[in-house]
Amino acid sequence: MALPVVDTDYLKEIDKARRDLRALIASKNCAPIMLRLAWHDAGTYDVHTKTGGPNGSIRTEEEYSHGSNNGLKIAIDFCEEVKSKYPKITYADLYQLAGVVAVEITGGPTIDFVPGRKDSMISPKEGRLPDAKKGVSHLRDIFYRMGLSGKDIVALSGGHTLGRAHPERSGFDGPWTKNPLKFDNSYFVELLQGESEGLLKLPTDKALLDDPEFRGYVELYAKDEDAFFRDYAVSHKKLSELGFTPSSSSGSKVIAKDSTVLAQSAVGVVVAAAVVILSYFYEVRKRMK
Amino acid sequence: MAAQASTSASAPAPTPAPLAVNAEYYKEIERARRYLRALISSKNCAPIMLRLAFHDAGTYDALTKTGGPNGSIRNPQELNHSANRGLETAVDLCEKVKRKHPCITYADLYQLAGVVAVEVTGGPTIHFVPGRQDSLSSPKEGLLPDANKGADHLRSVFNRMGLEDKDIVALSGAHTLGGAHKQVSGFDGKWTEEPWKFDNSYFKELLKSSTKFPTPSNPPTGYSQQKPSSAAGEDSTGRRLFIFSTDQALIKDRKFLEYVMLYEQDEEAFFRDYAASHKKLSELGFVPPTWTSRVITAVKNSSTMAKTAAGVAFATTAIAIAFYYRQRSQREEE
Repeated sequence: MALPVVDTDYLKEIDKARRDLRALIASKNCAPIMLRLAWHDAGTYDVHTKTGGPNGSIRTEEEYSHGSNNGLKIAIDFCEEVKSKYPKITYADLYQLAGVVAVEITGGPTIDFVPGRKDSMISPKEGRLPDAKKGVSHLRDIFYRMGLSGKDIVALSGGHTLGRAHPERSGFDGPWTKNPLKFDNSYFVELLQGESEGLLKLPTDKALLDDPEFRGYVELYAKDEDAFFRDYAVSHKKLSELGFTPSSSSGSKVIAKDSTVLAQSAVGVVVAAAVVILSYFYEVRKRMK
Repeated sequence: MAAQASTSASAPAPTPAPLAVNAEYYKEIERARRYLRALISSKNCAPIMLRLAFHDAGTYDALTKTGGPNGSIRNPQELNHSANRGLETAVDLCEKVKRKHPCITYADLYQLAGVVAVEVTGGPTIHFVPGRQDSLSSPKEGLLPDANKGADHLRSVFNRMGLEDKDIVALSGAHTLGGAHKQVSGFDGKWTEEPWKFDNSYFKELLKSSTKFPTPSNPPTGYSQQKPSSAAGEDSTGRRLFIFSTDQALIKDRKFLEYVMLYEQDEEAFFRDYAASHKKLSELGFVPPTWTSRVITAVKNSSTMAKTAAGVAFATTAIAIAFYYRQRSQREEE
């Protein structure tokens, strides 16, 4: 499928879809499943073959029927409500935008969103997403294959601050934190505190404590929420753009939309400076005559 | 931190210490904003938070410069005004945020909650400037609009605040959210099909209702729409669509009606005007901090390109000034 044309109209649709997503996600309290949808669409990326990634392919029956995607049809159907209002937007952009809004609505950091991903109906084979029952080397295999790092693994695991596991979906049960609708660093705090009544720790969560590099980040994020938010925003953006090269025109359009008080003042100062210089030269010339 | 004003009606309120709106305060505001997003969406309480913000701000008197968005609504005396019935829920929810971020004034917190309520329900982004001082000095009852009255009353109340016709109609559009509750206002029902979604459907319903109203003779206070078809009648909980007399006034008055018709057709126009009017309301009687501190905030928030533009501008000015002085000293040598 062709790259979408990211013109002013497309950007306007993205803004409207963003607002609709806020209302939808807030009213249905479905931020966790929307975040999982975004992550599972993107997380199939293979940096060597350049296949998979955030391209909307998760909406194919073949892919949403993968075991690791159990339950995600709900999120796909929610997004379909938004897609029917804004058909121009690609599914790839829509799912990533939903992930960004899910984090925002639950009190998480603002994640920079650049539109322009193209859609694909080609689904990768099952098995590219992490298996919750495994450990450190499996996590590294999976995430390095995407082109992500150890820091990304830990920061992104912090997404478990939201939501819960369901027995009928993954076989596991329960939330990771006391407030599964609030995005904060409590996932890391709970991880370091050990077993806790009613709270879940997957084998892959506990694995973060087994590796010294991972553990270093867990300890940092447990004590410094700002550091977690900062690193999470970077890692989430990376994940949401795997295999996607924002075109220079869409990038500059997005930046150009940023009309801040400062840019306007800057223009004013330049104009004033130009007037001052010109009148000075005029003055000098007059005196020379 | 701002000092608390006296609660006694007779003693004049002492001037509170100036609020330190520094970089740390801005950071706390951003943290509170994120907490409010999580709180308001998880508890689905955007409508009541918006009402809290409006009711704290809407007591402003532009002539005497009293009332306005100063957190005084948390004063039990003011919470007990009949127009504020039910708002303790919102005050209590905001208290959770205040406990985590104590340096923020209540005045800023309530207005920030209002801004976030509009955002999480899909409304426009409203520009928020922090720095409001707190007060415990409550204005007398009767300064907020009475839902049973009409256009003249609306103008009298809003003009007193310093707001105009366009503001009245745009702000009424906030009825896109929420509903009325028997135990609070005596009325029961909602204005739109989706009371959790901020859009222009309030105006659509208002214009639809204009063909279906009972005659003016002996009108009941507050109307329930009698919908002949079930197409847009009741929601799944059985709550009827309804409007206040003050809503109806917007279509009976010619000038208000022009705005209603514009907003019914053009949601972007409504969002644009609503954002401007909401900002005005949230800043009644508030003098934002100095221009320099706002520039600092803008620098922090602006993009790389804007920062580069600013850098170029300052460099150009510096070069121009240096050039001027060089020329001057050269001329003096001659």
